[in-house]
Amino acid sequence: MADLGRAALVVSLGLAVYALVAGGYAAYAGRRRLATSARNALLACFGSTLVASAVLATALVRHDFSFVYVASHTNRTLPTIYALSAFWGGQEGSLLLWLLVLTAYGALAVAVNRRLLRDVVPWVVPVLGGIASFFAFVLVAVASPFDTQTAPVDGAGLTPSLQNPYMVAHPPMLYLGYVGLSIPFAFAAGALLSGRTDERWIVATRRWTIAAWTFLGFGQLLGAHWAYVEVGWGGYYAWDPVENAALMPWLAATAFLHSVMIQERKGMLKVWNMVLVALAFELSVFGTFLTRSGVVNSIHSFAKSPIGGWFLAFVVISSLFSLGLILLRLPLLKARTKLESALSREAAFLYNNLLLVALCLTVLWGVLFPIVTQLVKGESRTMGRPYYDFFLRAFGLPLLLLMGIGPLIAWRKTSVRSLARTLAWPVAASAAAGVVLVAAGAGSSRPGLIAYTFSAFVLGTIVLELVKGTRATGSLVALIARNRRRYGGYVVHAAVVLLAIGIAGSSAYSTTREQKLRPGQTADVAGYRLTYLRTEPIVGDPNRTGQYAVLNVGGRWHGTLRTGQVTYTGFQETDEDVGIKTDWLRAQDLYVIANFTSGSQAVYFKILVKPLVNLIWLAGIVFVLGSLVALWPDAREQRRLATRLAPAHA
Amino acid sequence: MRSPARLIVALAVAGVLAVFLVYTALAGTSTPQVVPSQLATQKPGKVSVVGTVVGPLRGESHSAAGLRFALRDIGGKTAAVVPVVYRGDSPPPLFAVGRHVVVGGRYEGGRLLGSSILTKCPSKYTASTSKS
Amino acid sequence: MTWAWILLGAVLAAGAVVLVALPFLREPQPEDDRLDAPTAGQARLVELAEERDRALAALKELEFDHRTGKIADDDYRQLVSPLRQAAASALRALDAEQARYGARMNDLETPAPVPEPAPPPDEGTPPTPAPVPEAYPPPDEGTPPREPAVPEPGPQE
Repeated sequence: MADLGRAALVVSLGLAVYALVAGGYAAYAGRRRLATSARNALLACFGSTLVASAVLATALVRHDFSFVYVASHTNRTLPTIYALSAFWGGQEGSLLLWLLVLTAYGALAVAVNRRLLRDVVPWVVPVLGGIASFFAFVLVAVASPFDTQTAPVDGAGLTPSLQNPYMVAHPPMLYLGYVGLSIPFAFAAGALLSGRTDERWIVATRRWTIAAWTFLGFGQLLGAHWAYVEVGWGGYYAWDPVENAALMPWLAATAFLHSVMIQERKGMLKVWNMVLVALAFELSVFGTFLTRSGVVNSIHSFAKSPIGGWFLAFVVISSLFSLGLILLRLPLLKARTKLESALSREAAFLYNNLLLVALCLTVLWGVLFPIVTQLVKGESRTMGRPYYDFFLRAFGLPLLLLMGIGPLIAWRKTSVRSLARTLAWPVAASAAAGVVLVAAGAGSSRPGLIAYTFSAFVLGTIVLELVKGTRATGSLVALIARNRRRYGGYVVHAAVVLLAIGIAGSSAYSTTREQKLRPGQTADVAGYRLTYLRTEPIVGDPNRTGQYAVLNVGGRWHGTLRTGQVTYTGFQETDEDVGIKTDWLRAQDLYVIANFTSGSQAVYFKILVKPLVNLIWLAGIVFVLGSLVALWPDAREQRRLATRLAPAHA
Repeated sequence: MRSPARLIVALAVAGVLAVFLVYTALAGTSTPQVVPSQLATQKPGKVSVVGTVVGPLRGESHSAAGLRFALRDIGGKTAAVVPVVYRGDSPPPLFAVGRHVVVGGRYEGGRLLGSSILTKCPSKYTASTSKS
Repeated sequence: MTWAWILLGAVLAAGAVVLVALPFLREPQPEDDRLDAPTAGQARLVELAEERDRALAALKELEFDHRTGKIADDDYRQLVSPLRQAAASALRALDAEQARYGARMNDLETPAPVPEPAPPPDEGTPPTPAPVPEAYPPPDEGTPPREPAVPEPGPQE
């Protein structure tokens, strides 16, 4: 069966290369049948990649240990769902998933747009073919999932701490995001290659961009939740290079999502948008390079792999290609209108973009710093959390404020007077909120207080927008239905505000205490009174050993909390099973980690009280809802676009 | 009307650079990240060491004497070990002999005085078929 | 058993080849193998249509912003007339190009605007030389336009 898989991948490689070469020639020389043939090749490439994926999935489910990959990542006792999720648990399988999503997206995007963008699609095909060729090549020649061996009796298995629903959901979601960014990139490159100056490629790929961005954002929140609940150090984001690898393309994509609105309306920022979409794509591939190559130290340990070199080469070559293409087509990218005033919605979008890109580049610098210093000074130095925290505040807080002001500024030019008048109400509301917050004790952290006040301001502006809009159109539902993108966007903004409040609360206002307790002793932390009762060892479970500390909690909440450490037989690893009590009313978490000392009854408890942390997870849900509203197909808009673009039909 | 766009962008870039300069001047917080075999040539000071934990583990991190262990290079090509004295919060639960860890602290007098320990998550994407 | 997999692999490869060769198999002797790209005329039409939509969208957005109080009365008065003129000239240019493009399509054009089902800005249409039909929606508010002519595939240029 592995032979079929190998053959399928070779077929995929051949088809991808054909799509690149023949498609490129067909677009260049204007050959219709060849262009269609190249497009078919992309579709066929999806087909053969699907076959290869089916082979791997079947081998995983059937525990076919003659596959080296299956033997390394599963064993006989592994539940089927985790055996399947091992598909993306390893290097080769995750690459195959990448190729599968890429060819699926590519075939679909090209098929859907083949009439509306008849002049651009012939160029999109070779671009997608080129990207697919790279991944197919790596899968065939460098990291094949279909290496075989004499089957051992049992496989190595999946380490138990990876056997959780997050392992099933988090990587595929991220991949749907990462790979999705290839589509707007390919269409942008296609538009440039075909010499088209209109904005059809933006309209055509808008939903793709939003969808990819949503997957990537939600995937990151899933990862954060995983870290918080399962890994159990008390935090949810460590500014680790692998985490940053997903954050950077997401920030670039956020900037891109906003600035294309300007290009659509005003014909400005054309060059900027090309650069942004290329940046988002390159960062997504670069991110996966960082993750796999072992070139930076990360707490997500991935061994150093030779695959890194290939990825780096691809990033360099595709970046040079994008840059060259943009420079070549620079005359076509002249802006139609100019920025008229520093106080206009166009300018607000520009500030938004500058802040987002600045944050993105800051994170990139932090990630690259160890590599750069290694090369330059021979000694690798790392940036710690304070670096990231500082810049997150420096760029993030103004961005938060801008989220509130931007929608209220008019296009082209606003006078200070009318802006002041429009903002009066939300500013007053946030000032009042600030006073209340200080009275409630939030003044203990200045950045936290600022974050809260800005958040109140933004929420005030969103409410204002909805109220005014409803008054103008008569009904809230009609208002949202007629302008799904804008109001979906407002819902997403509300999600970001929730995220900001959650992050501010759980970091700036959290309480941490480490205390050693003997049975019977009590610790008082932030309104909770915890009494260590006893330790309960795990008995009767052949797979696990360990112990749990049982605590009685009083004060803000009455109940019992268990926290402990679990060791899985056969795996030399101890997992933390933290005790979390979520107080929904106050939206805060009581989070307790136990560290047992050998030879003593005393246990060290790390007790954290994290206010408002659950708003972060709520934000994830609101985020997806807002995106759904923005993505929702609008029959009237589709008809209008079809008639607008109809003159291009032949 | 002349477009303020260029002015805005120039100011923004200048602003970002200014923020960067202020930060690095005030904070200057990068830390050298080395492996144990490089520590011998390291000057005393703040450092972050990546290595494998070598036992036996002695002592307790909350006591004055601290938790004592040693670190050696991952991959173990050299026999060089660095003694570590770690004081502070309990080490993370994945901390054990044989684990890959990152210990942050000060290198002084041939010893690493650790104040923070980070353990690596279970491995994915490893080339070998090792279990943990 | 391996031969079964190899056979499957061969079938897969054959299928791929067929799919790729399909356009050539279907039309071994095509009259015209040139890539269907929009002609310069068609591209111009699209550009003009985009410009029309943009101009009308800007106008509608201005009116909406005025109605919801983001723009003061005097600012509105100052901004609205250039926008109206831009919209009018965009419409004129598009009409002219469409007329030039396909004369026989004229009878399919609906001269009267279709009234919007949803409440429109209540300023009403201003008295300008080229009246702005209310029916054109901005790109971000999806109401359908009047059904303009879809120029049938004209003579291939």
